[in-house]
Amino acid sequence: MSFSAPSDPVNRPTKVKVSQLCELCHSRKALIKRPKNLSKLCKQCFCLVFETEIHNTIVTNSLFQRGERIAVGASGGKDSTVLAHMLKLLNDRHDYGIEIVLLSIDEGIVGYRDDSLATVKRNQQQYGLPLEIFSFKDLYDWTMDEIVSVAGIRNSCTYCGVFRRQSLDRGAAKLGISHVVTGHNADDMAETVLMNILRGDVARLEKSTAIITQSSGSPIKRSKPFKYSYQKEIVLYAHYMKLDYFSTECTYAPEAFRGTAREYMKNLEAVRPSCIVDIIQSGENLALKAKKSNAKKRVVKFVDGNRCTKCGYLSSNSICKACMLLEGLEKSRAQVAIENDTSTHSAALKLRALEKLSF
Amino acid sequence: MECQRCPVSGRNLATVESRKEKFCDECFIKFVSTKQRKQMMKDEFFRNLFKVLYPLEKEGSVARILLPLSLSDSGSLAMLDIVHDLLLEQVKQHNNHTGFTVDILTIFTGETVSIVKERMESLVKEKLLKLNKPNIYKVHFIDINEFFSNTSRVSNLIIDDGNFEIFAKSKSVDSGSRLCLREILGEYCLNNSSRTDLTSIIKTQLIKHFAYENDNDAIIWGHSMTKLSEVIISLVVKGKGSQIATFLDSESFDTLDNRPCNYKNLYPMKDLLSVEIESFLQIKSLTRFLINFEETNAKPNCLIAKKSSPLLDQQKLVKNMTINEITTKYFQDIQNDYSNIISTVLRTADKLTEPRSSMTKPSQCQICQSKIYTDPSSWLDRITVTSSCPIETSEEESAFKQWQDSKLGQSHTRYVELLNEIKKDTANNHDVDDKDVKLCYGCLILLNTSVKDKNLIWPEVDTMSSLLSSTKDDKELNEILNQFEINSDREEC
Repeated sequence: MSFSAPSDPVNRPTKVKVSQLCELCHSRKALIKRPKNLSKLCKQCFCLVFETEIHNTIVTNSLFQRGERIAVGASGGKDSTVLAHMLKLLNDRHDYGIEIVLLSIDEGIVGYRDDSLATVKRNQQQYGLPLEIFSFKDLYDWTMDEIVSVAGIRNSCTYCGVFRRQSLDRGAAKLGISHVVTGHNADDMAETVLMNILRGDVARLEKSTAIITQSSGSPIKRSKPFKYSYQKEIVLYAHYMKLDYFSTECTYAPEAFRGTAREYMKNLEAVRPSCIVDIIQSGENLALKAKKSNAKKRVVKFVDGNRCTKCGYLSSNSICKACMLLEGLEKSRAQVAIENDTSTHSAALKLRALEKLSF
Repeated sequence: MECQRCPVSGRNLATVESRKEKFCDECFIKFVSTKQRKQMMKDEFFRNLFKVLYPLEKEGSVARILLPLSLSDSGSLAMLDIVHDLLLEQVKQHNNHTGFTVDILTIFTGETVSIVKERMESLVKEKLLKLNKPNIYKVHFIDINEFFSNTSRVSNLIIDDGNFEIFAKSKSVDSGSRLCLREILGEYCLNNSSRTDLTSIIKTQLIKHFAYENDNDAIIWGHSMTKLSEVIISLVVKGKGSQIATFLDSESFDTLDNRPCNYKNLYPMKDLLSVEIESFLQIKSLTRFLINFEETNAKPNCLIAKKSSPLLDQQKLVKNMTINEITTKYFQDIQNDYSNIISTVLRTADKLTEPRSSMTKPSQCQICQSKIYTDPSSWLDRITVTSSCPIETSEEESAFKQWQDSKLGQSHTRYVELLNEIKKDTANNHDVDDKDVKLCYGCLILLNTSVKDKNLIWPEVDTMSSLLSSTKDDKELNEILNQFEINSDREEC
């Protein structure tokens, strides 16, 4: 009886069915359904398409000028990690001639931000980019954990949003950089458009989809190269490129109403995947009627470029939002504190501690 | 519980609770009617249309109002009832004179023709005849399935999947090869949502063209505040946000096919929530005229005695729902926690205007006939890459050849052939500048993502008026309305 070698299930060439082929190149096995339009793509085509689309966004909107220094708002999360990787890749590939710096803000959420900042530090090594970290504690003498213990968890996003935005600007100014790039993606954009309509936030309605935002009195401009990139595609790209990112959600729950808009968009995506860019297209075409002038009514006109009388930061009112929030916080600050008190540390720390427990 | 609107001396029992206020039946009817009438008298143009103007106008110059009546929708029926009450008051107060006449237009599908006509007949006999004055109401019917069958020319619209440009091949339709809407929607639409969207576009087109041809002064739509908010959000979600301002505009005269029209659009029910309209219909026992009145009776309302379950089937999978249904569900879900959302959306939308156009010449969408402000093809092309990574290995080469020979490859070849044929036809057309085919962003996306092979047959814009040959005035109902007598022996037209 002759010997027959056992079949090799690992190295046996697998024949790809025609229906499994990539819908763009029709020659490689499709590995993903592209979230944007559900077309089945192979890894190579997906990465090429994703990178080219971001390059096109940068070029058609003239986001960067040769010789410009760019600060990438780096949190260690998927969006900012992919953004840092992508900008470095495209800068090398297409020679934008820009200098990239990672700029991180430490909000002071123990067990969450300290872990994510560790990721940013690793990214700094991996991409060979300079990193600067500014903290809420240094800038405002408050950490987010302390703010939550005073103001409660419900308003955490309001404080964090206002302070982080200002911190990025302050950090960039200290570094002498006038352009901050953030990882806001298409999902964030679409969500903002919907939220502004649902909440009736008329003041923000027209500007909510702008790719570059800048106040006339501010030297810092902001841009969003991921404006048209789906969040799911960013995650897929990070996965295929084996990027090192921190994937835990912020400990302080997202705003409840935003959650309803997110759920609504998720349902819409199941029926029409293009709905996210469709909402952005709608947002770009929303224009407000000219206000009727009322001679009798004295209106304090918003002047772009106003400065806060307390801190000198840009503000539409005499006192900026951050100073207003800080004023409220100071009133509630405890007069006496216990030494080495860790009660203000967030739930994230407890969660991390529990994760490390083992039998 | 007592009504908070009745005089203190004789308060009735409250039956309805709405906007944190309790009403008895009578006060609630007054509340709804007042809200509706306030909108009808919102500016001078509409005041002049609805009021009896003195000295009495010459015959024939009385305003003609078009009221699209859907017997599966509560808003338009409630509106007809309030308009009818206004006419009754005018007849009584102005010595048998009214300020306006009403054209009631009902669009039906082939399958619902008998029930629609039966309900309309009972509505005429039990309600409208009580006006006791001829030539005020005129009833019209249009079969939606005839949208295609009366058109003389159609365009085969196709999208180039490489750069999203739209091409169209015009062809005439002879009487022997008539097209049927149901077949076209069934053949081309890939999902329920695109089918609903196209049907809704067709209905709006038919109503507007009817108003144009019939020389109406205004179209009064039965959209409630809830429905309007849902439409606004749906427009945003479908990429048609630029159309919101035109959709809500009741100050300007409408335009059709770039021609100015003599009518304005009005939403008299825009201050009323759908739950209030449902309660109104139930209090006035009008639900019996609706086609799905069993369902209507189960719709959410604000009656104290009857708290019903939510309308939408909770078991329905999201995947099988249309965008409109998902939006309706969203509003129903958040209504309890964020009660002011509906009015906020409408108030915000009312502050919008048409965006600045970046088009070199005025263009309108071939499908929905809305104005186009930015070129959707180039916008989409800028943000979407459709080129592939080059083939590198011999295995990839052989897989590609295998795909070319397969059914999928052949289907793609057919698509490319059709596209090239239409492109060639467009290039040979000497009037190409005049026939520049454009779609709005929303319709382009619809065609690109929800329509089979990215191509669709659609009537040409300039032949739309021929669609209205399908309009049939219902002679029997109109004779009844005009002669005050019911002749049941007469055949339906």
